[in-house]
Amino acid sequence: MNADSTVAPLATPMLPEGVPAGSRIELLPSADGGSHALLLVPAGTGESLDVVEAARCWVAESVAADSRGPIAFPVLLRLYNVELAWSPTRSAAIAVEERFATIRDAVVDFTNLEAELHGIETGIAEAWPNYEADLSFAYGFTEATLGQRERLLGRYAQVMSLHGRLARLTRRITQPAPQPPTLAGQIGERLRERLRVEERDEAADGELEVLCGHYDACGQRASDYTIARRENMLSWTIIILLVIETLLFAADLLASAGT
Amino acid sequence: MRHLSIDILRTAAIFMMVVVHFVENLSATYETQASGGHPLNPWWLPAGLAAPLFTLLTGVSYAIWLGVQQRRGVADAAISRRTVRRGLFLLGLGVTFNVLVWLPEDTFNWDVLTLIGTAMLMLAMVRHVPLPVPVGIGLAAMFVAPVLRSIADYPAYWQNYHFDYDFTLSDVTLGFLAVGYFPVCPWLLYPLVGFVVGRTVFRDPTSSAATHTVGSRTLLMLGGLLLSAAAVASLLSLLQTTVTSESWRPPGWTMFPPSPSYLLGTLAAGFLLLGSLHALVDMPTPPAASSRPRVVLPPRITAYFNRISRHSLSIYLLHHVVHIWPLWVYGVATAGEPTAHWQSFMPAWAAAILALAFYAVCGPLFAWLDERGFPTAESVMRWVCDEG
Repeated sequence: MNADSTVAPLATPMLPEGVPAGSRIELLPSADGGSHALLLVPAGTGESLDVVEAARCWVAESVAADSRGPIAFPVLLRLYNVELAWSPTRSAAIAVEERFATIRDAVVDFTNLEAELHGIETGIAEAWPNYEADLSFAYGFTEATLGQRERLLGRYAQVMSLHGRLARLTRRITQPAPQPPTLAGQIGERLRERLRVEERDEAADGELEVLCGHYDACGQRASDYTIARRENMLSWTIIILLVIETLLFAADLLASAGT
Repeated sequence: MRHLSIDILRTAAIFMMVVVHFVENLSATYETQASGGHPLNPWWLPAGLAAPLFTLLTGVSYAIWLGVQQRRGVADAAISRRTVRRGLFLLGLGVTFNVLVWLPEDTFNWDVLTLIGTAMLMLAMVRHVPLPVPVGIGLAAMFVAPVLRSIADYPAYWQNYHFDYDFTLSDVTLGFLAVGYFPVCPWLLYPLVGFVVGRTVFRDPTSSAATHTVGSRTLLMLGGLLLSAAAVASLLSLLQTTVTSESWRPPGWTMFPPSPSYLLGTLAAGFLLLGSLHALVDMPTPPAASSRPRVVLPPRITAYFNRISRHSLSIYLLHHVVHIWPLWVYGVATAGEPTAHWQSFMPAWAAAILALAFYAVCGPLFAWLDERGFPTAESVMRWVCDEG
């Protein structure tokens, strides 16, 4: 769920085989306009391994296209008698009916947070080839490369936007979990740990520092060159006027010398 | 990187120059033209385009040459050195040419070669500055020219429609600045504007078709604006004078000295021709066949334009030699004075036929020279200026 792109809402998936009656799938709206499918399986007196495996397989079906580096999907959690399998596009929870609302809120909250972080990471990954291509502009501009300013401005705005989004996200990531511990709070905490959200946030911040510093330097060089160019123009205007004056003076002198 | 549009226009410019010089040196006089009595008068108006087009293309070609040198990674100092050497070479060649062809008394008549040499030196100076600066210098040269002519008393230097000067520092310098045949004021306007056109329109050979379209359209639009300005300048000069005896000639249209309407009109013609040809023969047609121009000329025709354009300097020198030297020799033999038959040697139509015959010979002649690797003015210039 890349927050940069508008994701088409998913069609409601079919219930997997092997889940008990009363199970249902809810399509949860996500911040990017897409949806996240949550399979809610009401818990009985004791869950058979088959039901857990069916739920896990159902979640795993959707993860082929998703990648978060070394993190394997689905992420499996067990806490407070809740079995939870999570992936970026699907989740499955086996719990008593009364906890479904809490689980739903926790999944929506974390899924949106993680999607935003992944969107930022994708944006950073796309910015690196441009960074390599634009390295020379951090050193200086010439008349021929001045036309690249608009393109660099666009990339600067893109990188700064990513940095701004990450700064807002960091506040959400680093806010303390509610005390005393709640089911929703614990689901969020555990998922953040398993998906290394804090480390990824720090890494993204470090990368964006480099990118922002580079495009900031490019902007500075472009500005320096533009100012120097303007001053150059002024100097040349004065030079041209002085040359004209000298020409007129010389012509006058030569004409009078000739007569 | 050669552009067919530039080759075609340079071929046309050198063709006009050859015809003009043959006819004017062997038969016509400025006096008969000015009186409106010359039979070729209605057809003679485009002849005034030759020198402006030639000098405009000098600037365009220099910008393209500069781009090629930069893309090849030639050091900036080497580019400066080559440019300055070329400028000095052309200046020296121009003066030598004047001595040898126009005889020593016309050593400092400031013809087109010395103008191009000076323009090269100027381009070496302005090639690093923002593009409005060369335009500003060109416009300054244009606007200051009438004032300089007024101060220098221009009519005093022009007797019988020819530049007549004394070998004094004042006359030679004033001739270079304002009163010669092609003084830097205002003639520097053309190469400087041409340089800006070259840097903007012909900047990058790998640019997209859309960029080419924008370049062509901009040239056409500017050409239209300049044409309108030339018309306004003509109308203003018409209001100022009641003498309009030369009905074929736009009011205020003079080449010596170049009037505002002449400068603007020839610049407009250069822009319109360059823009049209760039769109037709250079520009890839988007989007289907992006690598093909709209009009594809047969390879032999393209090669011909290419050859004539590459050897335009040699043709310029040679066409003077082949018609002026025999004229001088014949003058000495029959009247004891080299210039005895100048402008009265034959009828205009006969001179025009001779010019066409000379031009017809040029293509095969330079193909033959190229084939055998014989030196030409251009190869000598490259050897002197570009080596090392």
